[in-house]
Amino acid sequence: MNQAQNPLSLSLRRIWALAHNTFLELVRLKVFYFLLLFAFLIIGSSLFTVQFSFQNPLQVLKDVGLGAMSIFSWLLGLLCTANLLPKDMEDRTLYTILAKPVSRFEYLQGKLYGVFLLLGLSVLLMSLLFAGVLAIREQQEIAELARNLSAENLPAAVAEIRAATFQMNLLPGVVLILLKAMLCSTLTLLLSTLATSSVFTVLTSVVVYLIGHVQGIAREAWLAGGQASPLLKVLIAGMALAFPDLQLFNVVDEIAVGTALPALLFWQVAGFGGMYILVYFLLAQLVFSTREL
Amino acid sequence: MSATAILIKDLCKEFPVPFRRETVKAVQNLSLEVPAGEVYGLLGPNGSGKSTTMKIVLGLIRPSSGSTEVFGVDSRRVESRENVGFLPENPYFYKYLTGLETLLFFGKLCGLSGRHLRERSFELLQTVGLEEAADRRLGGYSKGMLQRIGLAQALLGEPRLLVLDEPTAGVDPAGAHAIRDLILQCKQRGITVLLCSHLLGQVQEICDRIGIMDRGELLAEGRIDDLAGKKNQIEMVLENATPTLLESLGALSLASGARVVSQRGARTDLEKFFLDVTRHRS
Amino acid sequence: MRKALCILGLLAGFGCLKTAAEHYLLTVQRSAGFQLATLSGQTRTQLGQTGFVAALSGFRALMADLLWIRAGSAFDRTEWPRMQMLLHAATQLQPRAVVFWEMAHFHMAYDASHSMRLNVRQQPAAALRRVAELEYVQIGEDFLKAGLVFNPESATLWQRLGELYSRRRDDPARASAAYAEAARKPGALGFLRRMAAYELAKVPGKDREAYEQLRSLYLEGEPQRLPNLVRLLRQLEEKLAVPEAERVYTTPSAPSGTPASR
Ligand SMILES: Nc1ncnc2c1ncn2[C@@H]1O[C@H](COP(=O)(O)OP(=O)(O)O)[C@@H](O)[C@H]1O
Ligand SMILES: [Mg+2]
Repeated sequence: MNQAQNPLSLSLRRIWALAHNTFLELVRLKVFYFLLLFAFLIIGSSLFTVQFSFQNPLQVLKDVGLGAMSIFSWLLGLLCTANLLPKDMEDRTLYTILAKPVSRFEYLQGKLYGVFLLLGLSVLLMSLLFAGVLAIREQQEIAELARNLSAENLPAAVAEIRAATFQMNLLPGVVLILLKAMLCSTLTLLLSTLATSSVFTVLTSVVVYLIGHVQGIAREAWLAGGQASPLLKVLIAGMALAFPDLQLFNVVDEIAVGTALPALLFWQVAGFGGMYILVYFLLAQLVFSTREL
Repeated sequence: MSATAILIKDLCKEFPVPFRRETVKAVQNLSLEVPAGEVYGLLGPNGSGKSTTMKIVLGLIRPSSGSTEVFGVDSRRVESRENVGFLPENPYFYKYLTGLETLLFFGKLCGLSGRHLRERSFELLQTVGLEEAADRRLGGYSKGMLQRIGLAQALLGEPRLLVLDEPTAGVDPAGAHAIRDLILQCKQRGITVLLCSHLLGQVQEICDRIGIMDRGELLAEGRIDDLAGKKNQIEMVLENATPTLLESLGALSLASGARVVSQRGARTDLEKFFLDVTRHRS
Repeated sequence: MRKALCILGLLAGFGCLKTAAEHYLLTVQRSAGFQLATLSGQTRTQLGQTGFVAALSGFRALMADLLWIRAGSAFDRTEWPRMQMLLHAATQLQPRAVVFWEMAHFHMAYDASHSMRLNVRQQPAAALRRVAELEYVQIGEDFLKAGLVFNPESATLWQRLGELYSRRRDDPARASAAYAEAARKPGALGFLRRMAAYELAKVPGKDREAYEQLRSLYLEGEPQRLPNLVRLLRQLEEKLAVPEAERVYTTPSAPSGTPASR
């Protein structure tokens, strides 16, 4: 061996090598092409929304963009993660890696961080594209106003459009979108350590995603303790206990219509998401460490 | 450091058969010891448990009972793999990486970095004869090339123990020859090698000791000469021998109480012939 | 087996903890104005199966926009009941969009109710036309009030409520109260307090209070001393027979010395 080094930094270096490799794998699998769909959707709807007179076209564009960002980041994380472990096991690359002084814990972390890296970059790219299209449309709206409004009314109207288009408040909202995608990826990783086929992983993960969005309704009904048959009650309670409430991460819609997100609330939700990621990851590690390869 | 490279004690491994009660006994009561510096060959038909034994030694799968140690460290601990290089059976790497990137990646996992890692990678690419393919993606490599990059990868961390699962499977004779030379080089440098193969000729050439497995059990073990040498026989190859000479040799043997067991026209080894032909071309 | 039970127990424990955390977070989010959308049966019907799933998984605002746009086409075809349903669904999906509530109330309390009044062809009886008209005014008012439940701090919605009472209901007392409420909200415009006073002046028996309000507005300075305010102030001073010394219109800044300019 070369120099004596402290084990933690060596371990971090190995995790980084694995994460970077996973990221590279996903990039070379051309998953970024997936984002082209997002680009088409945004640019397409920015052209399409010009026609609406009944609703503010910029608002529609914003809602399309934020919704698409939420769905796309989730789907990207899901599809990328579901195949990571099965592929390594099937190709036996896992043997070669684990025959090096790499623990399964490090391996799993490396894989997950690689996906996180990809998700972070994707959300960044989507945000930039989205902001770009929004800026162009904003300019068009302002030019339109300049043609129709008198000089004295113009500055106020322009300022109003500006304030309604770019809200710095959206940033924490987008961070929560990313966090939700990361949470769902970790869940997918957990499922793939349990599963024997990636079809199962993907399907289960989709189901959890959907249930996760109605879990809140079920939970509040359960906590309120209304009238229901005992069987239904047990079902609802189980649902509330077992599934994460993903709706808590959807705050952009309100931010987009001007609701302020208090910093404390942001950190609470982020902390909640972080805790979920940690728990899912530890469970994944628990399963993976005892799994026969 | 322990003078024993690999220690296997009463190893058993059973695989469950899905949807059945029974199990497959892949390894049964296997005990063996490989001293440091030795080249040990595991022989056996397909499915006899060679790969399973290797995977357990490397901590990739858990034994059902018994234990394995590498340089005195239990295989279940990560540290046991610090001085080990492994070439899996039919190695398969990330297709999207080039040869060089593959070595850099595995080097980082071994704790290497920076200039040292690059130099070492280039050196090994040269050693296994892949310097021209260094920037091509592994997706386009042939089986033999994959085997060689696998070997390079196993040698990256300057291991003291090499575990090679059928290193020459699917490799052309020239490649197999090169791989054999490489293993011999390692042996000279004092690296312990555990290999399995069903090419008995090769095993005979390079191994100090062999073990023969069948259905998970070790049936025989010992030094090659002890197992396969015929102590009271000797072979002799003559050139330009006249029939008269042969006749008188026969008579002489008989007179001294020896016996000519067989006599035939010598052929060159087909492998040697193949190597000569291909070497002259290039 | 015991290990599995152990893990199951831990998971159940975690489930309870996280359920409590989720409940807490939801409460905090609601009080900050998030997670207020309701996907009741009616909204779900409007959305359809796919739209419902989309609304649940990130496209809620967009679904609200789409419902809104469909409401727009109902408007073009003057299908008022359909429009009302779509507006209701859209506002339920995006209850923090003040502009939705505001526009919904406009379309109901003004557009739809006017069209009821003029709907001679389908409803020849004037009294029944009047009933239909008032029904839509009521629907508009309900939209505003529902909007205020979700956005109690919106000066705009309170102002619209004041306008509705003043213009569509001839109820100056409630109009004045609504304007006054609007004036207290963050970001309220200056004219709201004047509007509250003007409306109060129309309420029988509230002359004294209206006069006090107008007077204190007048005394605030030049920006409040608009012709309407000054005129009303004078009228009230006359009506209440305020002693000459206490009157404010005689101050030098008053434009003319003759009180009977009307
Ligand atoms: N992961 C596994 N699951 C079930 N059975 C296995 C597994 N791996 C190996 N076996 C079985 O164990 C036996 C030994 O396999 P292996 O060690 O690969 O043999 P060899 O390498 O000697 O050809 C075979 O019968 C094989 O079917
Ligand atoms: Mg094998």
